[in-house]
Amino acid sequence: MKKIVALVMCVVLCLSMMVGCKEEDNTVIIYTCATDYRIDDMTEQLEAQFPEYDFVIEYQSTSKLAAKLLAEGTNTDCDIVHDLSYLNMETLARENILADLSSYDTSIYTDDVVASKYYLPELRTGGAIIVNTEVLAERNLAKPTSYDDLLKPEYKGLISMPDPKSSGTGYMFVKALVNSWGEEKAFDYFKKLSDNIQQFTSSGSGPVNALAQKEAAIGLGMVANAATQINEGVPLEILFFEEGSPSTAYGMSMIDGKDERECVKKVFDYIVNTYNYRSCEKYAPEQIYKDKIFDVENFPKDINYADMSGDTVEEKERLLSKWGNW
Amino acid sequence: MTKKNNEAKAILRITDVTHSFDGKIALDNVSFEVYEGEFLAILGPSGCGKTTILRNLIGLLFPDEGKIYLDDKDITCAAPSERDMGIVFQNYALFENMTVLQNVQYAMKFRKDMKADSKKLALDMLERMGLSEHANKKPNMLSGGQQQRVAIARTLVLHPRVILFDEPMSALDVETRLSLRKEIKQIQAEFGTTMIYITHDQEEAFAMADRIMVMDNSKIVQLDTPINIIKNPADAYVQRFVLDNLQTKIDSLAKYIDV
Amino acid sequence: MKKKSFFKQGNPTKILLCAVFVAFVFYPFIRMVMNIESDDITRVFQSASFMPSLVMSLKAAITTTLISVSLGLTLAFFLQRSRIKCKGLFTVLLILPMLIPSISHGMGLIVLFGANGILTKFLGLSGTIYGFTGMVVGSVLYSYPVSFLMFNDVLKYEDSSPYEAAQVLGIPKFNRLTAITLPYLARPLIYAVFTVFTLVITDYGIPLMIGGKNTTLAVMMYQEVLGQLDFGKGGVIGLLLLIPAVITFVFNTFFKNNAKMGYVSKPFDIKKNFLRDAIAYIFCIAVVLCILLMLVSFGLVAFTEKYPTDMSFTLDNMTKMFDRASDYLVNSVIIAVCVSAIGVVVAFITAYMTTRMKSAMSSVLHLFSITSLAIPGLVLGLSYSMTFSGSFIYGTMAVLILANLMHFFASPYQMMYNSLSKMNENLENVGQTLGISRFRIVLDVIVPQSKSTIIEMISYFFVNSMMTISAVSFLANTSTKPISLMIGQYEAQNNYEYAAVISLIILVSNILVKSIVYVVNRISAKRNAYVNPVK
Repeated sequence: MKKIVALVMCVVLCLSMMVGCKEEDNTVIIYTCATDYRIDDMTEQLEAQFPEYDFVIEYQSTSKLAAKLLAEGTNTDCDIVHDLSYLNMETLARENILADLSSYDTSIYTDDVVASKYYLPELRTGGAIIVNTEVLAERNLAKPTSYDDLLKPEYKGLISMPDPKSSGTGYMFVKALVNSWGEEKAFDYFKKLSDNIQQFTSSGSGPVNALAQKEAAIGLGMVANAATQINEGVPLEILFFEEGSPSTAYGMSMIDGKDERECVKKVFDYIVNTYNYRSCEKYAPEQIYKDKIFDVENFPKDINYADMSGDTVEEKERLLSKWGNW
Repeated sequence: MTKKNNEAKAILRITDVTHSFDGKIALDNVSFEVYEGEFLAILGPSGCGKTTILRNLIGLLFPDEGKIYLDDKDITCAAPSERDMGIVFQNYALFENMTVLQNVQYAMKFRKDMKADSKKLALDMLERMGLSEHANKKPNMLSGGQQQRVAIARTLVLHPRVILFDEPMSALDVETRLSLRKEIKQIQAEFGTTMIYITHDQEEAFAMADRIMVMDNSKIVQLDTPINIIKNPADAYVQRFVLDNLQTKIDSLAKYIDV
Repeated sequence: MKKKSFFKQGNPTKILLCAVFVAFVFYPFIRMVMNIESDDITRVFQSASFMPSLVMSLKAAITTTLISVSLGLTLAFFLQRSRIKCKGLFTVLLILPMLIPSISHGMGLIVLFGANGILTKFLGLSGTIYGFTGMVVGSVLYSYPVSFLMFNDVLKYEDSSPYEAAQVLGIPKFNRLTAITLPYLARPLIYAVFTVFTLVITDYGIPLMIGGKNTTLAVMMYQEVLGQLDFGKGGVIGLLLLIPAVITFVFNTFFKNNAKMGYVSKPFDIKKNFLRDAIAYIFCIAVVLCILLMLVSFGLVAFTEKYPTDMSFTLDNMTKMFDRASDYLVNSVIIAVCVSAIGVVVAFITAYMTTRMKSAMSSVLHLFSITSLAIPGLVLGLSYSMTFSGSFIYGTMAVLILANLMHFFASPYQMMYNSLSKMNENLENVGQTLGISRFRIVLDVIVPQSKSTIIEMISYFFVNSMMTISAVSFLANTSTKPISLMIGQYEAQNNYEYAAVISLIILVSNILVKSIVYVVNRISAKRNAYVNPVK
C-alpha cells in the first residue's frame, strides 16, 4: 500500500515537471485581447488550416498582456501578440520585444493605420454608447442623446463601462472626451458619471455582454461587439453623440526571435494574409484596407470618428494616474 | 546492604552515576545494586531523580559520569535494545493501531532469531498472560488491567533480564491499582524476572517491593527492605516523607478497626 | 556526546526545514519589501484612488466581519445547543460556499439580484446589488463558513459542568451567559473577527466583480499592479494588507488559550424546547436555502443557451468548456495533487520534528511553519513573481505548487501538530527498548494512528489549491494555468455561462474529494469501532 502511494507520488512529480517544461516544437502560443467568440473562431480556423500544429490561444486584458510581455521580454512563452492596442504595441516595440516586420507589404493598409515596422494593423475599433432598447422600454426610459444625458438620475445603476485602468476600450472614451472637452471638464464628467455606473468591467467587451444579459441598460462599448449581438437578435441600438466615436487601432506581431520558428512564421503569415480579412468582416468592419470595404449588416456606415490625437504611452499613464478619485 | 541480601547475586550494578540537564544536576553520584529476581521499588517525590535513573538504566539517557553493569558487562553506552531490559511506561504506550497480538508480535519481526516463530511465540505469551481471547482486539477495547498485561507481555516476550516500570498506575483509580499490583507480583512469581518499579506512592512501594530505594534531591537516601526502613529510618526525610505519611493512613483506618 | 545529541534531536532536518521556509517565504517577502522605493510610497498614498479604496476596504471588511461572525456564531449555536435533526447534513450544506472561489459568488449574486436578476424580477426588488451591498453580501457568503466552523468546534467541546454548577447555585440565565459563555467565547470570537477581517480585506474577487464604482486596496493591488506590473506600488499595498494578517498571527501565536481545554469535557444535555428548536430549524433552513439558491443559479446559467435572452437547456457550454478547460482542469488537479502529496509529507515531518523531537530548534521551526499564515496569497504571489521571475522554475508548475504549498501550509501543519502532541509520548522510547528504529515506529505506529488527520490535511491542501486565485494569478502562464483563474477571465467579459460552468466543475471536484475523505474516514472508523475502555 505504501509503496503504491510512493509510486503514485513519484509519477505525479515527474508529470508535473514534464508539464511545466513542455516545449514542443509545433506549439504556437498566441496571446490576444480579442473577445471570447473571436478566440473561438480563430482557434477553429487555425486548427483547420494547420492540423499539424498545436495552438494555445489565450485571452489577456490589454494592460495585463502588455505588462506581462514587458516584464518577461523575449523570454516569454508567447509567440504571437494579437489584438493589442497600438499604444501598448508601441511600448513593446520600443523595448525591442517585437520582431522586425519590414518585409511585410504595408501598402495595402489605409495610411492612417500604418504606424511601425514592428507591428501590423489588425483592426480598428470604434466606441459608441450602446443601449438595450428593451430594458429602456421596460423601465420607461428615453434613449440618451448626449454624454450629459448619461448623468441623469434615472439611469443610475444602469450604465456599464469598462475600467480604463484595465481596458483599452475604457481608456479610449476617456481620451476622446479629454480631447474634445479639455482635461478638467472631462474628469469632472467621469467623476459625476461614476455615480450612475453599475459596474466598471475589467474587459472592454463586458458592457455589451451586460447589455445582452439585460443587466445594464446603457453601455460604453465597442460598435463591432454591439453589431454582432444585434445580428444574433439582441435588441441593442448603437448611438453616437456629437463628440464622435472614440477609436483605437489594434495590431499584431511576433515576439522577436520567435519569427525564426517556422510554425510561428507560417501561422502569422496566414493570419495576416488570410484570416484577418475574415476576422475584420465578421467582427470589426471598420476600414483598415485600402481596397476593401466591409459591408456588414447592422454595422453603422459613415462613422464620425472622434479626435484621438496625442495618444501616447506617457499621456495614458498621466491620465490614468488621475483616474479613480470619486 | 543487609547481610541477607548480600547473599543474592547482583544482576545490575550502578556505580557513581551522575547526570545533569543543561548544568542542572538530576543524579548526583548514585551507586547501588539490583539483585537477580528481586522487586525493587524506587520511591520519591516528583523531581527527585527517579525517572532519570530509570532512563539511564534503559539507555534512553546516558550518564555524564559513572558506569552501569549488567552481569558484570559494561552497558553504560549500549543502545536500549542491546541491554536485555524491558520497560512499561506510564499509560503503557501501546500501539493503538495494532491488535493485541500484533503489539506483542511486532518487535520480534525485527529479530532474526525470533522472526520465523514470532506468531507462535506471541500467542504462547498471550496464553500465559491470560490474554488469548483478546488477541484480535485493539488495545482501546481492553480494560486498564488488560492493557497493562499487554504492555508487560510485549516486553516479556523478548525475555528481558530486567523489567522497569515507570509509574504505570499513577493515572488509575484505587480499585484498579490494587488488582494491578497483584497481577504484577503474580507475573514476577511466574517468570522470575527482576523488576524495578518507580513510584511516588509509599503504600504501593511497601506493599510490593522486596527492597525500597528512597530518593530525594538527586540522591539515594536509603536503600533497604521495607521492614528495615520502618525500623531504622535513615534520616528525618525518610521519617517524614515515608513513615509519617504511612502512619497517617494507618491512623485514619485504625479508628474504625480498633473499636 | 553533545554532537551526537545534536543529530539525535533531528537538528539537521530542522535546520533544513527552516531553510526551506526562509527561502520560500521570508526571502521572497524581503525581496518584495526591498524593492519598494520611497517614491513608491508617495505614489501610492498620493494616487487619486488610494484614500477612497482604503476607506472602502475598511468599511466593507468591518461590515462583512460583523455579519459573518454573528451569522457563524448563531448557526453554530443553533447546531450545537438545540435538538434539531440532521446536524451533519446542515454542517455540510453550510460550508459548501467554502468550496468555490470567492469570485464565483459575485456572479451568483448578479444572476440572482442583478438589475435583471431572477429574484430581482420575481420579487420586484428595487435598488442595486452593485456596490457596497453586493460586496458585503458576496464577502459574507464565502467568509461566514470560516467563522461558523470555528464556533462549531469551540461550542462542541465546551464543558457543561460550569453551567450545571451555576444552575445549582441559582445563578440566572442571563448572568450565566455573561459569566461563563462570554469569557469562554472571548478568545475564539476575537480570533474569528481577525481571521474573517483578514480574509475579506485581502480578497479582490468580489469587489472586482460586483463592487460597482468602488475599488478596494486588494483590487487596486490586483488590477493596477498586476495589470501594470508595478512591483514597487504593489509592495506598498501588499504591506498594508499584511497588517491585519500579522495582528491575527500575533494574537493567535502569543495569546495562547489560557483555559486549556481539558481532555474530558462534559457534553451538554440539551433539554426539550419546542420554540428554540423551531427557531433553529427556520434559521438554518433559511441560510441553507440561500446557499442552495446560489448554487442552483450557477446550474441554471451553466446549462442555458444564452443567459438570459435564450433560456433553453443546452449542454453546449458544458462540452465547450470541457473541451477548452480540460487542460487547465488537468493543471489544477496536478497542482492540487502535488501540493497535497508534498504538503502532507512536509507538514508531517515538520510537525513530527516540533512535537516529538523537541529541542531549542523546535520552537523556531514551529514559529517559521505558522508564519505563512500571516502572508496573504496576493502578497505571497507578488513576492514570488518578483523573486523567481527569470529563474528556471518560473513558468513551470513547480512555482505554482511551491506557492500554494507555502500559502496553505500552516493550517494542515497545525492539525498534525495537535494530533501528534496528543499521542503517547513514549511510543518511540518503547520502540527503542524493543529494538525497533524510530523510523519504523513512525511508519508502523504513528502514521497509521494519524490517518484521519492525514486525510483531513490532504483534503485541505487539495480543496484550497483547486480554488485559489490569489497567489497563482501572478504566477501562471498558458501551459500552467489552473482552472480557477478562468472564472475571473470569463467574468471580466461578463461571460456568465462559461464562468458558471467552471465554478461548477471546481465545486464538483471539491465535493468529490470531500466525499472520498468522508467515506474513507467512515470506513476506517468502522474498522476501528471504538468501544469505551472498560472501567
